[in-house]
Amino acid sequence: MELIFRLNGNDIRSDLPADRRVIDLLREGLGLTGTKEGCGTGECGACTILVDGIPRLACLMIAAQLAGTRVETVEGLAATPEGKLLQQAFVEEGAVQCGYCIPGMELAAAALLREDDNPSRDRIREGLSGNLCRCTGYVKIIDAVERAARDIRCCKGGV
Amino acid sequence: MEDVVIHEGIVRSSDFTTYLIPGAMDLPDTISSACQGHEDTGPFGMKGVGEVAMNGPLPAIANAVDDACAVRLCHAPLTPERLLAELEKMSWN
Repeated sequence: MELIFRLNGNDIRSDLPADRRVIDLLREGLGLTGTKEGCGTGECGACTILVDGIPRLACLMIAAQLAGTRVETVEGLAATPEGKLLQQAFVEEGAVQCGYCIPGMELAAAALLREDDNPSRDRIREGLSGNLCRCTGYVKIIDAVERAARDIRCCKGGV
Repeated sequence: MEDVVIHEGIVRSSDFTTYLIPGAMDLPDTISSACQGHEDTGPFGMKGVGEVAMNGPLPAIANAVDDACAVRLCHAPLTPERLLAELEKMSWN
């Protein structure tokens, strides 16, 4: 089928089997390897992408579901001002150990911060609850999202 | 919450649906503090961390359970079900 959608701000037109998994389309078809496949069964959240701003799992979606949508991956996030601040906050707080869960964590965090620019720690935990991390105890990841929220508010001329 | 279930030689908890690991809502805030020591068998006195950290806390919590209700659980995780089963055995005796 012919698939048309918007990916990280660019129009994508692709001819592919309609049942191709989105994770395979992104990683193998389009070379965007920032999105990771963890469990492949929708449990771990490593493959989180934003579809029309909502966190979705690329391992459970088929390409046809992307028709007409606006998709954001970690590569697109990294190019936005908030994305840069978010990634910097992860670095500053030492939130990354092996790093495999981080692209998904960052997209889940970005979706949360767009909805709530000053979330409580509980709200952050809830926002990241679909993303498993085996290295850390989540503490530094939550610290990083708190710091990013602060930095993004400052940048927007808030607090 | 983590528990490997093996039945007739086959691992039954082989994915995240059946082998649960903690998410961000499950773990409390923690504070880590490093105590400097010297490991004679390691290069320059170093010792790996990570899984080794389980060698202290797990027995410590098992000892606390024993101290609290005289039940010695020797199989992790120390689930409420396992504790209750042991307590019931005690009440029979």
